[in-house]
Amino acid sequence: MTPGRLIYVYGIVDEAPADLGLGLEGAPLEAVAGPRAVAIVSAHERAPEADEEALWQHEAVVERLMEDVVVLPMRFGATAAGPRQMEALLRSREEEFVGLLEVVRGAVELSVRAELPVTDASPAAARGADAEPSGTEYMRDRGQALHAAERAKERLHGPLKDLARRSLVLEAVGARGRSGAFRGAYLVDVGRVDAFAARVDGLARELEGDVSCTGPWPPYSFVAAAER
Amino acid sequence: MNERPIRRTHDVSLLDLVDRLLDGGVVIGGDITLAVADVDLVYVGLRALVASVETIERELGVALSASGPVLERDAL
Amino acid sequence: MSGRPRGGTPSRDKLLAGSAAPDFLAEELGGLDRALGRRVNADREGLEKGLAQLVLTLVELLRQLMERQALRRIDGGSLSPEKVEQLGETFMLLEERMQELKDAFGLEDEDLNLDLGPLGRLI
Repeated sequence: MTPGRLIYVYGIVDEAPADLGLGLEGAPLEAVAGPRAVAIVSAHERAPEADEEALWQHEAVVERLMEDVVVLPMRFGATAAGPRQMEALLRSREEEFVGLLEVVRGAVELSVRAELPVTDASPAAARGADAEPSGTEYMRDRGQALHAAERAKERLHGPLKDLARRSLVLEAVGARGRSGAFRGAYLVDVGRVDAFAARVDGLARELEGDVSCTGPWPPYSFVAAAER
Repeated sequence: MNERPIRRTHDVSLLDLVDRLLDGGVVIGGDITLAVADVDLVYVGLRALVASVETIERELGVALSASGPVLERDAL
Repeated sequence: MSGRPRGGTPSRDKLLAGSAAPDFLAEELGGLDRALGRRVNADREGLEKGLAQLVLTLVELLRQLMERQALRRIDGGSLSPEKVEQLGETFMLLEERMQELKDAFGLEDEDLNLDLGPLGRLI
């Protein structure tokens, strides 16, 4: 690798696959090896710009790697100053990476977005716009609205969570009028992806909501260090 | 409001791609390169704020408000 | 990923289940254009309105979080009826103040669900 060039990182793998191919801007992929984890990188003059093409290309590299090895996908734009800094990083975060590789081995990420109907049977609706509620009535209305939204989301999330190794609810708070918004990420065994998809279709019909499920994705949501 | 008509099935795929690549994944170094999208650092900080506030609220049961004229600390 | 020819480019249609083009994503998809580098003209008036939007969204976020916290305490039964009444009146007052501020800046509820582009919505 040419010294003095920026190292762009696509993922951390348990071992480098045989043939690596090309990455962003046609740069050749290379492996930087640490004691127990390997970074798959390419060298560039400056950080690549984040346009739609670049994002899909980053994704393509990660998905190709996943065909052969276990991958911890990097966030887009992850760079190191050079190969030695990359090696140092692999050493200093070795335990974290090795642990995460076992968490995601044999699994993919599935994304679920939904807008669920939330039945608003609160007295506020019955009361009408003119009547001024008391403080207590106001809190009760808000409580009921919150519980109704939580129940609606659990009807979708509950069954899906059971089909996944791990799950994350990414968005459960809604602005007024969007209390039924749901966004979840699920780490699912490769062999269970079809069953998961079928369950989503079934739940969408059952709950009469708008539901979208995309995937399989590399496990981006399950390798970020900070709890989300 | 800027609503573009949804025509292609891969629009929701693009949305999920962007969410994952720009908000997930392993992070190295303290700073994400500023070449990442057209997003102000203020927004990046805001997102961290939201995540931390919700974590605090959920896990520690700590009052979010300091004592004030009406919302007293011991009330929450 | 399983099932695809080796070395091929990934399909950009990753829909696995459910509806292909749900309406509720229209706003978020609009935000994608901004996020992916198509720059928006930052004129002065837009900037001021943008700042008000930012500040009021933060206030709204905190208001919602505090409200949820209060509701949990109420659920837990640890608050006296007087306190519940007082909290309710306070939150109603906050809601009124928020409306006044929104009106002053010509902002709607939807404007306060601040779209952070690739970082998703704030609320």
